[in-house]
Amino acid sequence: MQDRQELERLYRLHFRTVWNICLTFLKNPSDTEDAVQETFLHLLRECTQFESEEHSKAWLIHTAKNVCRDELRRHRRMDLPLDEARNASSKEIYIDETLEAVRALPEQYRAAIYLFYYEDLPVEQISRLLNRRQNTVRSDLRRGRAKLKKLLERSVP
Amino acid sequence: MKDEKIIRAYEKSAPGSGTEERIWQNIFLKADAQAMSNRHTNTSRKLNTDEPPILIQARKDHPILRFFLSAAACVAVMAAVLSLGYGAYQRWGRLPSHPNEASLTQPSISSPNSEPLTPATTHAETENLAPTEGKTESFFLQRTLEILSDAGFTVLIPETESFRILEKSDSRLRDEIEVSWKSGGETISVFYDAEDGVFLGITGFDWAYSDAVTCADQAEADALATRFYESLPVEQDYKIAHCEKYDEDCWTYDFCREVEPGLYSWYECVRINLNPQTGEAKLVKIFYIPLLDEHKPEDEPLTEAAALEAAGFYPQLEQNLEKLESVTIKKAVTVPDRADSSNRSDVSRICWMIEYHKKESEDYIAGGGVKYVDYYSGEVIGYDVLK
Repeated sequence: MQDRQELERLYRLHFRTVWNICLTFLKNPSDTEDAVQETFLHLLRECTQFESEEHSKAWLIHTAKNVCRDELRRHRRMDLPLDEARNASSKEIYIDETLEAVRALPEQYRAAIYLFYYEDLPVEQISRLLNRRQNTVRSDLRRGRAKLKKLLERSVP
Repeated sequence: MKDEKIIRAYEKSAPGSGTEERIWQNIFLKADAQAMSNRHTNTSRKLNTDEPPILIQARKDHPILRFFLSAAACVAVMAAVLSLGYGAYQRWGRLPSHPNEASLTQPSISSPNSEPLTPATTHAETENLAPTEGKTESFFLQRTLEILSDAGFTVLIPETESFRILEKSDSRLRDEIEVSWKSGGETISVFYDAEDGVFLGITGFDWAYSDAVTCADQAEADALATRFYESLPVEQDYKIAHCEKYDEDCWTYDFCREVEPGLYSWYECVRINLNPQTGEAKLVKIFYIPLLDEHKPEDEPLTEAAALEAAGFYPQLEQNLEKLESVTIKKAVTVPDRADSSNRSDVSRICWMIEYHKKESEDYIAGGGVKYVDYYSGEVIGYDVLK
């Protein structure tokens, strides 16, 4: 288990990355907050010794993605009646058209797009993080990019 | 390869420092709770396995002192074991020290000594139901077993089940009681209305019939969702109002009350998440805020134009028409002040739902909104902010 000081240091260092990953997958701000919290609680419970900041970041990205997927599978929109769930999506967070389009992509493309275009990670590393073959990641990026383009064309008048 | 547009999009959605701090505080609180729990576990382990440092030192220094310290340690361990054993016997054994403690005995479907099963109730049957005051943890455990049994599933709830009350919140329509336990790595939770004990849902449970197969098409998935729905102790006159397909393996069915042809209430609704590829259901959630329709026969409903005017849209449209991208109006069911858990009404009403979108989305708080106008009185009974 990580000690409190180390946990706080990692939290401050990687909060934005974990937040962005969770925001990419989850629509509701409160779900995003819960997933960020759960990701760092995983860190608290694990005894992982990180070799570098890159290692801890990769671990957190991987864990955040898994937390979000579990959350999506288990509790999709379960807490709100449908019309509230639709309106609840961005009461506290500003989501612009580009991010909205990223979030509208099929799940398998979202993380690849984020990691490649925001985190600037090479395909090889994304492949390890997402546990997908490099060719699959390249194909996800290609398809995700094409779909993103279509979505953005549609959203801009 | 960085992309400026995507980087900007994420930068704009960055949470404030308040959010970051709030999440940290929550983690910090849980971290502390976990640390305390671990300290407790470690202490217990040391009693059984590790030699205390003072004993190690004594062994080195003085054989007689070592003997007495060893004897004292043995006595302490035996006392602790006896005390734990007696505690467990008191809690789970056959001789409760207090009559009420008998209710803590672990329930089991097959147990011949189980208390008589209380029939599962639906919201329609709750008018004369006694409140949950006085109902024990074992009552809800028993209800849980019964509901699952009626639906065709036999489960064993381990002793490590937890029981807690979840308070009403912006996203929780009422105070709820949650009974949860771990099974195969998943946490299964069953929820009840804390006030009247009515069943409100299950999460984490794999509902799969022994004859479950992949659904070949929408009709088969509809039929399977209906089969699950009909096995539950819930209102049985709802219809499939909506099916949202998130993925190939996650379809969400909403069975809702049809208030009038084509008008469904999302507040009298049973939600079932179905995996059409395996034939499993993963989640059941019940929403229930009944419709109050107390208008007199001679009351005239508001026209669309009157509803728009009541919501202040005519002047706004005339003065700021160029700022609004669209305004749509439709009949709906809503709960007055639903966004505010402290003032939220406990009944739903028929209303006109007016949704508007602003042309300029530079407004970081709201790119539009929804107003709800009572269908008969014209009173504005709720608002929502849209992104």
